[in-house]
Amino acid sequence: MLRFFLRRAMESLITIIVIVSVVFLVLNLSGDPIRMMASPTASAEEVAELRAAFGFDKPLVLRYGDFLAQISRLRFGDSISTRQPALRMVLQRLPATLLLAFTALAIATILGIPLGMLAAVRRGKAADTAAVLVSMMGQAMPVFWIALLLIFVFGVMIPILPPSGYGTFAHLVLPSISIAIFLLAGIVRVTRASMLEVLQQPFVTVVRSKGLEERIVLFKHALRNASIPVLTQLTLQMRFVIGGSVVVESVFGWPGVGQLLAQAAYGRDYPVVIAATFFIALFILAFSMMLDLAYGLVDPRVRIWH
Amino acid sequence: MSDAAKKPLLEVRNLRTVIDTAHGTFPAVDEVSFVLERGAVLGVVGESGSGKSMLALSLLRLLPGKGRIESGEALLDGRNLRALSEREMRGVRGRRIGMIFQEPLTSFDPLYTIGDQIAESVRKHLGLKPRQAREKAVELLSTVGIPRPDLACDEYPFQFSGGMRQRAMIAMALAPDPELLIADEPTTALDVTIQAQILELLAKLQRERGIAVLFISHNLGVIAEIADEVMVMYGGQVMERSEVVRLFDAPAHPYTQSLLEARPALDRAPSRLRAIPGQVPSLESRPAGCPFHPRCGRAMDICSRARPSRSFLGSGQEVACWLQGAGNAFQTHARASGAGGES
Repeated sequence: MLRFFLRRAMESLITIIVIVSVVFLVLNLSGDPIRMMASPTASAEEVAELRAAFGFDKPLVLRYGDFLAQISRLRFGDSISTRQPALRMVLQRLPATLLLAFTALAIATILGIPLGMLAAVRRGKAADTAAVLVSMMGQAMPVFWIALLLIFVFGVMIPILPPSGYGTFAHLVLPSISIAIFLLAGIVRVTRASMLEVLQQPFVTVVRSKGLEERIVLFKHALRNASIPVLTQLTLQMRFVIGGSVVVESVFGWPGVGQLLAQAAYGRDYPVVIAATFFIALFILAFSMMLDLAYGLVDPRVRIWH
Repeated sequence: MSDAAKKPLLEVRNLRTVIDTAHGTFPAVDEVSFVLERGAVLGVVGESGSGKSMLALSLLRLLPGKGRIESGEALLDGRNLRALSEREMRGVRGRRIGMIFQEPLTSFDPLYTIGDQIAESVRKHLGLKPRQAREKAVELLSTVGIPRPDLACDEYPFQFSGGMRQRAMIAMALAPDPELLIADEPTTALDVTIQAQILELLAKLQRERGIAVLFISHNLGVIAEIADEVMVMYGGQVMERSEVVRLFDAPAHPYTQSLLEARPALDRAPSRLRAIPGQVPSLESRPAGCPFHPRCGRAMDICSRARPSRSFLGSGQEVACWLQGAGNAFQTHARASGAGGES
C-alpha cells in the first residue's frame, strides 16, 4: 500500500513537472505579457523597467530554472492583472470547481450505470434503442452547445432556473447538467457494452444454475464485473470534465478555476495560468489515484495492497 | 413420498429444443426421450454439436437467448419442469438439480471468494445464516478434498488451480443436496491425471450420496468409468441407448461402432486412428432422414429420406437405425422431411 502511494506520488510529481514545463514554454512562445501590461504610450524605458520588475529580461533558460525553483515551493507569484497572489486566487475558486465537477460526476454515475444496465438487460428492445440514441447524442453534442441549449430552454423559454451565477442550489443545476450529459453518455455506453459482455460469460449461467434470483445475478455478480471498464471510463473522462468546466464556467459565469484559467489565458496572466494548470493537474492525478484504489475494492486480482 | 418414489427421478419425453437463427429455426435437441432412475448414472456421449449441452441446459431451462424448448416434457418426480413458473424453477435449480460445468476457470465469478459462491446457494436453498453457510462451505470443501478448507474458503478463484476449481465446483453443486447432478464435460478442460482424480471423486460422492448423475462427455473412456447406462447422441438425436458394458461389447448403431473404432487404444497396434469420415453437420445444415447417413458406411436409400424410429433390442438396449427393424417409420416420416425442408 505504502509502496503504491510512493510510486504514484513519484509518477505524479514527474507528470506535474512536465505539464507546468509545457505550459511555461507555450506561454513564453505565445507572446510578450509586458507589451499587454504596459500602456500603449509607455516609453521603451518604462517597458524595460516593467520587464525587469517581473524578471522577463533574463534568458529563457534562466527563467525556466527560476520558475521550477519557485513552483517547487508553491510560489506562483502575483497575478499580472490583479497583483494578488496567483495561488490565493486559484485556491479561492477551487471549491466552486470541485463542487461542479463532483455534482456532474454524481449525476452521471447515478443515472448512467442503471441506464446502461437497463439497456443491456433489455437488449434490442425500446429501452435499449433509446439509451443508445441518447448516449450517441450526448457524446456528439459539444458541451458549450448543451450549455447554451439548457440556458435557452430553462433560463429563457421556461424561466425556472437562473441562467448564470453562483451561490444557491438552483445555480448549480444547469452547469452541472451540462457537464453531466456528456459524462452520462459515456457511462451509459460503457456500462451497456460491459454488461453485455459479462452476461455472456459462463459464470453467469452457473449462478443461475444455482437457482439464485435474477436480482442477485445482475446486481451482485454481473454489475460488479461490469463496473471495472466503467471505472476506466471515469478516469479517462475526468479530464474532459475539467476541460468542459473551463467552457461551462465561462458560459454560466461560474466563479471556478476554469473560468479563471480562461480569463488569465486571454490576459496572458502567466502566474495565474500556471497556478490554475498546476491545481487542475493535481486534481486529475489525485482523482485517478483514487480510482486506482477503487479498482482494488472491486477486483481482488488487482488488489495493490496485497 | 411413496408415490413419488415409484416414479423415476427424471423422465424426458420427446424433448425438442430449437434455436432461432437468421436463417430459420433448427432443432438442437430433437425428440430425445430417456429415463433416469434415482441413484443411477446415465452417460451422454457425442461429438461437439451433438446437442448434449443443449439437452442439459434445457432440463434446467437455462437456454441461451435464441434457444427455446418447443415440445416434449421433462418430468422430475412426475412434475413437468416445463410447466413450472420461473420462481418454482429457481427452487429446482441447485436444490433438486445441481450442475457442474466444463470450464472451471470461467465458471466462478472472479470477484467473490470460493466460500461465498458456495454459501450463496446454501443460504438460498437451505435457509442458513451466513455463519452456518460458511461452515457448510468449509465442510463441503473438505469433502471434495481441498486441503486447508477453512483458508481455501476465503480464497478467490484465481488463487485455485484448475483441478482445485473443479473440486470446488463439485462442492458448490452438491451444497444444497440435489438428487440429480448434471455434469457437463466436467473433466474435459483438465490434465489427464487431474481428470482421473476428479472422476474418482465424482464416482465416490455419487455412491456415498446415492445421487443420480447425468454425465455428459465426448470421451467414451470417461463415460465407461462412471456410467451405468450410455446414451449416444448425434445431430441432436439419440442414436443408441444401452447399458454401458453392452454398448462396448455389442454396439448396434453404425455411429456407435465408428465412435468405438475411432478411440485410440493402447492394446491395439499403433496404427493410424480410424477417424469417422466427414464432419458433424452444423445446426443449420442437418441432413434429412437419419442425421448420420452422409457419414455412415452402411447408409441405405431410405436413410436419407426418413428418420428411423426407436427399436428395442432387449436388455434395455434401444437404437434408432434403419438396419434394425425397419417397420414403424411412417409416424415420424412426415415431420422428419418437414424439418429437413428448412435446411
